[in-house]
Amino acid sequence: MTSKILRVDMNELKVSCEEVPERWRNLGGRALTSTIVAEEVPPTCHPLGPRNKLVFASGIVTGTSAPTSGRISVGGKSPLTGGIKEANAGTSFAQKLARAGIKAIIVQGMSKDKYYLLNIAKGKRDLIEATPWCGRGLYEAFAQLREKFGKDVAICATGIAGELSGAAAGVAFNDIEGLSSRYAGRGGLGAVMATRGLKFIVVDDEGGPGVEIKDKELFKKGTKKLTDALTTHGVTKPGGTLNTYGTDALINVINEAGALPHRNFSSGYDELAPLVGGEKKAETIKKRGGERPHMCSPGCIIQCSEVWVKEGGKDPVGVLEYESVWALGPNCGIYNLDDVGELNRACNDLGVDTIEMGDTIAVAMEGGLAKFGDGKKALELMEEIRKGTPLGRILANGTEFTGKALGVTRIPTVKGQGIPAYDPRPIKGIGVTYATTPMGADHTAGYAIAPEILGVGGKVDPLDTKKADLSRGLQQATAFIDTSGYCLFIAFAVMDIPEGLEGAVESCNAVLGTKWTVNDAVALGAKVLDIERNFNKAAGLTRAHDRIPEFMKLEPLPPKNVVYDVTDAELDKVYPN
Amino acid sequence: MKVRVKMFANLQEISGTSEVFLDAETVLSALDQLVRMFEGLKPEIFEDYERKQLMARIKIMVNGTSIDYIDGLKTVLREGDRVAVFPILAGG
Repeated sequence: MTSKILRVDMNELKVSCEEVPERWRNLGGRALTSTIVAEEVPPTCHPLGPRNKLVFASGIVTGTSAPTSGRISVGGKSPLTGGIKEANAGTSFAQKLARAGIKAIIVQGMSKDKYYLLNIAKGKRDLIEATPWCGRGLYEAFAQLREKFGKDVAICATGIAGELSGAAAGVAFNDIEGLSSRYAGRGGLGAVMATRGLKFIVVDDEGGPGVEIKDKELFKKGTKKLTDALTTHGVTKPGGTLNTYGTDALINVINEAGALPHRNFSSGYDELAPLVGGEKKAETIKKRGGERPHMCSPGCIIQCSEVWVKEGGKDPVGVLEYESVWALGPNCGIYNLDDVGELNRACNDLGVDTIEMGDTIAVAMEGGLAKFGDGKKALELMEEIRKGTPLGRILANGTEFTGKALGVTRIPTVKGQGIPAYDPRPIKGIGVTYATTPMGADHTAGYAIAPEILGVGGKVDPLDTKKADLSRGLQQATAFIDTSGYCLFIAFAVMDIPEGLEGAVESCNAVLGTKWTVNDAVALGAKVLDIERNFNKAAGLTRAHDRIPEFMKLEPLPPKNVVYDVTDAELDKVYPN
Repeated sequence: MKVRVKMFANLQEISGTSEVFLDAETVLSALDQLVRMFEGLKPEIFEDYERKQLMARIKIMVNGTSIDYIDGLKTVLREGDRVAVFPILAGG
């Protein structure tokens, strides 16, 4: 086996290469990061202290020609949730890391007083001082790094919010244009990276060994089956809805369903929502000369990404995802795409998760720091983070911290992590996922919206409160997809076209030389969840943390005027042990 | 009953508008009028127009509730109801 584990000791400023232990050989992505974190990080450690570690791992098929597979997982103990965290992103960094022959990077220890850059290029793995690129926005830093290291390198970074140890700080990666717009955003792992003293990783895969494929014929067969599914399904095919409108097409459907949170989760519907919907955005991008459709990483068939630009085609931001548009838009009472674009730019520049920051700004608005709908003031609040003021430090620590600081009681979090763009009161199953996933409130962990609202992967009544089995099954399948290296969006096609799922599993078998069935793949997902839940239990998280915020049980959400009424017993059925 | 019919994604592009107001007693009646107004919508909404069979991938909500959980195409409309028509879509 050619790929290695790269261990980066920030105490000693030493980088060493290790053989991949047999027990990790068939793992990738989330399974690998969560396994390493569970083995090497004491669950009770302080997330920003010396015993936490940050782990990077590309997926099993990442770096091969498998379609839509440029995913990287980042893991560690989360300063936001206090539990284990895996956050992932689609970026060429994932592919270049795999092709450079690195199965995982484990970053441990803490440098004494300086920030460093890990440079991986042509067999070298050097730590160099990163002082020249610290304390500045990531758009500028990425441009300077590409100037120094070459236009084709891939970059990973933590931003100013990470330097402040903010629990809302994400880990940034480059998009195809080299902008800092791709994020493993959730859970504050940017702060874990910064507190190790690691500010950037730069990867050049030229001359790397590439990714070994054990069975090339099976790989060809499996990837063809998956490609056929992706190019057939109405959601994922070229010219399909993701390709044409991006993820933001969901704004209108979720608003119509009465479940798009507006003004800090106080309403589920607003007539103004279409002003920031995918249809409006796609039309604006076309007029302004931005890009749509667009790949987040090379080899993607779905191409749901885009490049949002200002009037006149200036100042590219990168993609405005559904979650980001919602968080920084309707959730803050903002229905202007230019305001949302600038807020998203600020997030990408400061190195914060857009969902967490949108929830944070909305809570700050409820706490009286700005009026709902005031995009300019929202941007000023974010600039407090850049200045490192006490207020900026509060905001950089996320929704719950900010809510407590301001005496707000409507705080939309689970396990301390901000709730994403689906209010669970009228869509019960996504609430079960928010409550029970080991990750804290995370829609991607078990996307019940697909069958509950979208009619993808079956149809389920969103108001039915018996959703434990649905959420568990989705969480297990998701944990496998997050391990495979495929984008989670393949799920939309493979849930309806079983041959596509078979193909995805076969391509993993082809790379690893395994003989997994689809059931084995789901069992691997279940095992990953066990590992993560056991870590969380040892860290002190209990069933009391597997709950939706109290206000959602007490305050009916207009216009359907429903509360969250899934019982605790049903939530506990997801993971009975 | 005067109702508001909203269209999304490619249905907006085909019809050239995002909404129309119609007099309709049921969802079927509203859709029937819609595809007569915009012929291009017919193959997007109906698998078999003569048999009034919807495309499997079309989603219809009345006041935010899928007609799958009301009375399908027979769902009765009331004055001021909001009917939303979507093609299949997803995101994250």
